[in-house]
Amino acid sequence: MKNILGFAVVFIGLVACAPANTPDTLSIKHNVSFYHAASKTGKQESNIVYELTDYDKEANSSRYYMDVSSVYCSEDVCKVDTVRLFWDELGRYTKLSLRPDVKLEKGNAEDFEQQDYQKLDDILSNGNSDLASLHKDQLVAPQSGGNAVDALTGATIAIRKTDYIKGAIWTCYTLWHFANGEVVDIIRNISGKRKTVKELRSLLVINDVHYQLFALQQLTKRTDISKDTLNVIERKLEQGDNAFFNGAINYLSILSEKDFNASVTQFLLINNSELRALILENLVNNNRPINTEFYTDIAKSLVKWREYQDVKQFLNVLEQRNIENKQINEALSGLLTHENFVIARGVYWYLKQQPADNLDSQILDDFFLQHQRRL
Amino acid sequence: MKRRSFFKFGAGALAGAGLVPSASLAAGNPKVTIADRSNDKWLHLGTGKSTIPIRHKEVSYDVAVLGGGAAGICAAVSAARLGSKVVLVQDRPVLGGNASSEMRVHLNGVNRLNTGLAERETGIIEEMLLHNRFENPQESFPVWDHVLYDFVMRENNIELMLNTQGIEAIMDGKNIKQVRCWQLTTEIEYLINAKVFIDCSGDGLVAATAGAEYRTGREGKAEFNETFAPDKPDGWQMGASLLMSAKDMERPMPYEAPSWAIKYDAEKAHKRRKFNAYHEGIWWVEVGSDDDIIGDQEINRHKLMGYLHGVWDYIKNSGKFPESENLALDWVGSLPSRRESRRFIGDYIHSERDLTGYKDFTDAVAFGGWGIDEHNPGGMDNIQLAPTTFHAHFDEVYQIPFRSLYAKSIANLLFAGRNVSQTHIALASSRIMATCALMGQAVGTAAHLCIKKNTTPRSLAKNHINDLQEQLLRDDAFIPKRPANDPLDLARKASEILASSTSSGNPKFLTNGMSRDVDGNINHWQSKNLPANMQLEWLDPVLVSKVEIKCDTNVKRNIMMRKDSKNDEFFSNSIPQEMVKSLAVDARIKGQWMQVASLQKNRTRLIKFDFKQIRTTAIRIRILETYGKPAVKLFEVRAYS
Repeated sequence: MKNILGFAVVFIGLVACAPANTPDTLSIKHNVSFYHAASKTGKQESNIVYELTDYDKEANSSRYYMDVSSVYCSEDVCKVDTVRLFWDELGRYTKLSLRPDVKLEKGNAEDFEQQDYQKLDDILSNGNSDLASLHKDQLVAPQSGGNAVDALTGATIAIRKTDYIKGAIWTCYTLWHFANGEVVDIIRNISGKRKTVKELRSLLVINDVHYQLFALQQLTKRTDISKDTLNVIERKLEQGDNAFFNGAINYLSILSEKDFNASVTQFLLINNSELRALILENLVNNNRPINTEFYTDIAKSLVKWREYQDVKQFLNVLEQRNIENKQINEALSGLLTHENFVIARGVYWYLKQQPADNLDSQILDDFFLQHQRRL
Repeated sequence: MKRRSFFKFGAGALAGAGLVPSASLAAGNPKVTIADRSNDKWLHLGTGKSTIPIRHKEVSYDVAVLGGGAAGICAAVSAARLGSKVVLVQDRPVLGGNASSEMRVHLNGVNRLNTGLAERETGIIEEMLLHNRFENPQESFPVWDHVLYDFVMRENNIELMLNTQGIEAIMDGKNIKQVRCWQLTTEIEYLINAKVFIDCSGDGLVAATAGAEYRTGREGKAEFNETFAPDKPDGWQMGASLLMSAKDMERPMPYEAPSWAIKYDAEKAHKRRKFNAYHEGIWWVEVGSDDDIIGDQEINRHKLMGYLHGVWDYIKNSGKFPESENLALDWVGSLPSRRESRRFIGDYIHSERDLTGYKDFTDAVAFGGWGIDEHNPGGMDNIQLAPTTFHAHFDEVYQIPFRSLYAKSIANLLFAGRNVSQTHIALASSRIMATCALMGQAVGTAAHLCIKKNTTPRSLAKNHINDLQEQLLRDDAFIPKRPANDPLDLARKASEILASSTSSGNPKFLTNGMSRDVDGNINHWQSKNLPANMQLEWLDPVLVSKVEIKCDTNVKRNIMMRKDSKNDEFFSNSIPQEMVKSLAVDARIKGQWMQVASLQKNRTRLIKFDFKQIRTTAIRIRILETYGKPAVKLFEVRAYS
């Protein structure tokens, strides 16, 4: 009796007020399309995300839900149930619910047990699950009767036991990719549109990194290129807030050439190798036209850089983008007297590869005479 | 009927039949041969001559290793690779000891700490297991025998003698001068001369005949203050097991036990005698002894066979295992796999508190971490007892000191394996084969250093332990809490270490002396993608001819061959995807990068390049491909002139 009551408590705890498939009049419907990793067709699928209008922000309760199939089964022989998944306004999974008469099934047509539901909730909450990198072809096709297998094709994949329920890997895989897949960004964008630019900017400075990153992402989408936003971003980068780096690099992409160049030059002065690496990688891969004045300014600022790793990466950018310019080389020549001789030498060898009319060869000859023993 | 009188045959009877050499006549005397065949009346029809077969040979080496299990192989290979001339003497037709196809015990190591993860052994033992993954993807035990054979035979400095047993040490004062060996297949008596001897034979016959002090049985609590020891000392030694495997024949396969089967007493059997995966063998089919376990081996072997068939009879015919109807015995062991007999005494006796207290030894050279897994006294003879008791499991690995690995009273004798200087309780953990293998690499390396420095193991422990540890670390043996610090390693003198991209760790960690992530610390560099490169820069030119790299093979996951071919987060049945497959080394010469070495199908964690010496201020390592992962993770880079 005690176990049944305990199960009921857990089960109720997972169930929302409006069980799956119940008509909902308190929410806004959003028609959405997205790809699902377990999809048989490989095409986008359509569904409806419901936005609850009575959600409690202070309590950070669920704001969105969607009814999904419990399992994508390639042979159409699985027992498929409808599961309602919930997310908060940042697109983070919060819980799932089932109709009271529905029990999820695992291998050999066995019902989920109490602890299975709890484990499933934990699995869906883990954004870093091994399920993320698993391809559906690596899962054995479920045998008749449902989720009969938890083995993997070719026995070549090792997946942590905490990332799946024995006998129900297809269900775990299907639901995880619903909960943590493309729907997440769709939800974030819906939430973002509900906020003004001013509200998003204010989120940049609250004491919650998830909201900060959300705000940065949405401001990037809204192409908000205000000085205020830029100043906040720069401050966070100077503080070494690593979580902000990737978001900041994405933000750079919406800036005009002038603002981009100014911001990058400024950001590169921050003595953080990880940040520099991200920015320099962006310089290699972005499609912006090459502005030699911009690269000259960076080259001039290199005298303040302390790590050879960073200088070398800048030189790599020049090489990969085929940037050969006399002004840039002149600026780089300033590093031939850098206190870190490895930097000076690295620059020397770089300049030695440059076309003769793009540099002052006398400077290089002098450097060679002085340091030939150490080259 | 007493055990001793049960078995009718004995050495004396066989000697009388002229089938066993009269060792007693030659005892300790190198001038007397036991292979005198002057009585032979041999007519060689091919030549038309009567002749006497020559069955005596005297040979010389730097190092003689007795015993070709995991410990002996690692001892021989480590000494040989460092330049010593080695003979490896193995008394069976195959290498591998308990792990060979004759016995098929899994080559376990630190499979699982309390963290849930392995802390897997690296060095030569890992190389052996990886070699098997490449050469034996079908995971056949008989093929594994050949994999090990290849592993040894490809070493230039090793002479391998199979079917050969060391039977007697011939002394010169406190030194072993020679070992008398008998090669079963050729009737040849070998007198093996060597400067250093390593007994990895388990039972340690040569060490015993050398007069090395040893003991058998269980220490009482008081002697070493061991909480898991019995109150009083006694003679009990953990037993040997006999394994089997069964095959599904897809039709009913009746089974009738042989006449000498010993009926399995299910009523009396302890409830922990479980039958999980019985078709792969049952480890608790075991017989121990509280007396002369070596002298009783033939009696116990016969008994084990009786117990094995009794248990199989119970499975097939009790009605309790209906799924066994179609199963039939496919392989049955005839050679029991042994756990315990003689334990020799060194300058230090490793004991329980050294393990559970994670004692930090200045002369640490190896590690263990399997639980203190003490099998019950008598094994199946005391079926009412639980087959084993795990007294303790470990949060981290423990150290094994070098002073436990050489004989106290014999100047040039080392040990590795279950016969080292330790208590019965310590043995309950360290007897695991991969742990024994680490000891083997330690003593093989030590043997070479003893010869090079013209010194004894004791003196090596006292005066040159740093050299031993540094060589082991260089050869990818992990010593807990002992970072490498080789003054000859040029990489440590690099003024800059950089990489093309970094997703975790730092390229600068590659010279911090730690070759794995351990104790909660990151000691690696991992790239974001492939190809990737890392680079060393020196302020002044250096002369370099060697570059050595330790790449990732995921030491938190086991790679030994298993009968169930397990593949999950803890066990892998294939080549580690993390391992580097192809890479190249460049040196910057006059501002230009020139390739000095490359490797396309790497098979080891420790990747060594040897090239013509060059003068340079920078070395670059380009990693092109792994065996599956999209990025590379390295743990160490070294460079030598």
